[in-house]
Amino acid sequence: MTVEDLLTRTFSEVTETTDYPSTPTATVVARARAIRGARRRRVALVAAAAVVAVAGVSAAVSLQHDHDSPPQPAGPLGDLPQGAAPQVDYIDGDTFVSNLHLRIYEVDGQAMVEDMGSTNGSFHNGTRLHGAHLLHPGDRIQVGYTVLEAQ
Amino acid sequence: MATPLRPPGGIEFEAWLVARESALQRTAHLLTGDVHTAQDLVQTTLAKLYLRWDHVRNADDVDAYARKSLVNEFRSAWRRPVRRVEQVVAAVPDRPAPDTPAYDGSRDAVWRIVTTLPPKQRAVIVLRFYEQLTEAEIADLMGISLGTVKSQSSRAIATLRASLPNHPELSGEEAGR
Repeated sequence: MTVEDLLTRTFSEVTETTDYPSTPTATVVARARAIRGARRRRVALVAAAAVVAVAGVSAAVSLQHDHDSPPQPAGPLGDLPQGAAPQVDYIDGDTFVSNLHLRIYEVDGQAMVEDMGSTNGSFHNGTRLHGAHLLHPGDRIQVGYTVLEAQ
Repeated sequence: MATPLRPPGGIEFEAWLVARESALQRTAHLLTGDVHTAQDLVQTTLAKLYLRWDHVRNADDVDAYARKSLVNEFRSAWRRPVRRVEQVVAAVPDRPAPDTPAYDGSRDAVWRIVTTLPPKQRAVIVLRFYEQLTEAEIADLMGISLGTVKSQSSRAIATLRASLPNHPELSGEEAGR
């Protein structure tokens, strides 16, 4: 007998001599609900960060994902609205977010969102962002796997 | 945002669950080496399948899809730092009683060594020698190269062979391999 045969026999004997309790569908549904709830909370947290950024007057938002490098401000200060101090937020842990991904800023009291030439793009209410767009409350911006909601 | 959580293919999911859950549990048991951890792994996998059932039910092979989900879940669980804490705790509760009487010495010895193998090696040999998948299928399922499958498998087998020098059933031809 080879080690391979011995493994095959051991595996089938171990599983044949063990009782496996079946999982009620209700348990699966409850766990599914918990998983979905956790995912939503994650989105809500990021959305809250975006709300802070949009609500903060003349805010600029930079999104970056690289865990190893320190946060970088969003572009040269000259690009920001005049007199504005940059406020920078970050999205961590998302592979599809570029170092310089998009910015959200204010012009004449109107919030604007602009893709900064990110590799994987940003989506404004489901449409890919090209250039700057007006941002309205309730608009959804997707960056990588993360969805931001303006309020 | 407020879509109700409902089974997209309610009856179908339940039917599949009844028919196939024990197969998932057996594989999960061999992967984790522990019935309680396996149950947790299976339940998480089932919940994620349930959330995606509209997509899963149309897969060419639902069982293969489920098995891949299970292995992926196992892989992400062993990468999570908290896993070590969980494992220590999981080892403390009573082992299920049914295991004890039916075990003979040799199987117990082999199984004990298997449970000490690194998770990746264990996954490869379980898929190879329990699920009877080919090396190419394992590479595809685990998202690793064929070479990695071969090396992980041969390392696991070498460890077993070295740990069982006097196993009565291992024939002499083993020495030449």
